[in-house]
Amino acid sequence: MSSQKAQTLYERLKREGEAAGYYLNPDVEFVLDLMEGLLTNEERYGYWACPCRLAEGVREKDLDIICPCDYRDPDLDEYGACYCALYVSQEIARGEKELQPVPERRGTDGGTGLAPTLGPTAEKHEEELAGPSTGSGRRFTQSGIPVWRCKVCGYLCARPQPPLKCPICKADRDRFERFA
Amino acid sequence: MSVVVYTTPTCGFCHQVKGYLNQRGVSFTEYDVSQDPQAAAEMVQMSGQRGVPVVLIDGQVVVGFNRPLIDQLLAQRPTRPPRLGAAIADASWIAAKKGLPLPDGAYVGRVDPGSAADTAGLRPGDVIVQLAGQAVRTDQDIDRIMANVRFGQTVDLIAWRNGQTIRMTVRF
Repeated sequence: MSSQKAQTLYERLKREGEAAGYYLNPDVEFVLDLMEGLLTNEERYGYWACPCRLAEGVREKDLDIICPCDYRDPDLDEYGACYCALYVSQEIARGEKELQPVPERRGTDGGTGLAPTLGPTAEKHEEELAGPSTGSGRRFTQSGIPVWRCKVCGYLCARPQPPLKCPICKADRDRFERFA
Repeated sequence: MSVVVYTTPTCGFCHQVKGYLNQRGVSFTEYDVSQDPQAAAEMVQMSGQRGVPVVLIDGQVVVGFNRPLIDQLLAQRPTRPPRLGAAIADASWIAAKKGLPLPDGAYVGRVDPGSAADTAGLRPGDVIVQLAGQAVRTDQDIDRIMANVRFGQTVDLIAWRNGQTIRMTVRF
């Protein structure tokens, strides 16, 4: 039933995920259904808005729910699956544990489900992405090089700008925040 | 009793929850929040979040395909017996009023289109004389018998029609 594009995307996410220690739901039919959802949202919004959440349709407002979302890792830790159950824990992927319902930790305006430091507003985010400022209030590392944190997987790197894509979870540059 | 499901066409659990409700024979109203801004605003306001599916069971909000909670809320619904779908009166009263030679039983005045009675083949003018193996002498017997009928059950019905006895099977 699923399209060739969905199948290709499934294989890619499975390969990339497993290389970084993430596992897809073992129910392939369910995952292909979600792949169709991601492709539909990509066409509609221009990015992979979470198939299981009501998107705003504006990238800046939906940043935290671009798949993989900011909530995937905490949900994997706590419930063994992300809200969509696209990503699951290793135990569930191996069929050693059953899926359980995952409550939605995100609030109505995004970013409220996590600690405040992990949910900056879009404005703050843009400022961060503008590069290291010489103004006061900035904390620099000893070397003076800023540290960037991937909000999806927590990957840290010290460089003038965040990478175009997270080497661990493949999240785009705008999913990074200034860490130090 | 009302069940409302807020969905997007892209979400796997939305498809699953609809399949589950259908499988349980629960009828529901669906709103696609990705296309219906009013329903979307309603859902966000009611559930305090933007994840789908949101299932509303008699005003109680369930976020996600939380099967145990859905089962619990469905179980709490007041269970009412299925309806026969026919307007009935006491046959002896109709016989006296209209001067018709009717047997004792429940006189069928009207049959609701698409109802269990309609599907079984019951027609206005019939007199139900037996239902679910029990004799029907007045219209009140129907209420008494129907109180013990459950959804999914199949019962026999015997009706008098213009002097003939007709057997029918009613599925609820």
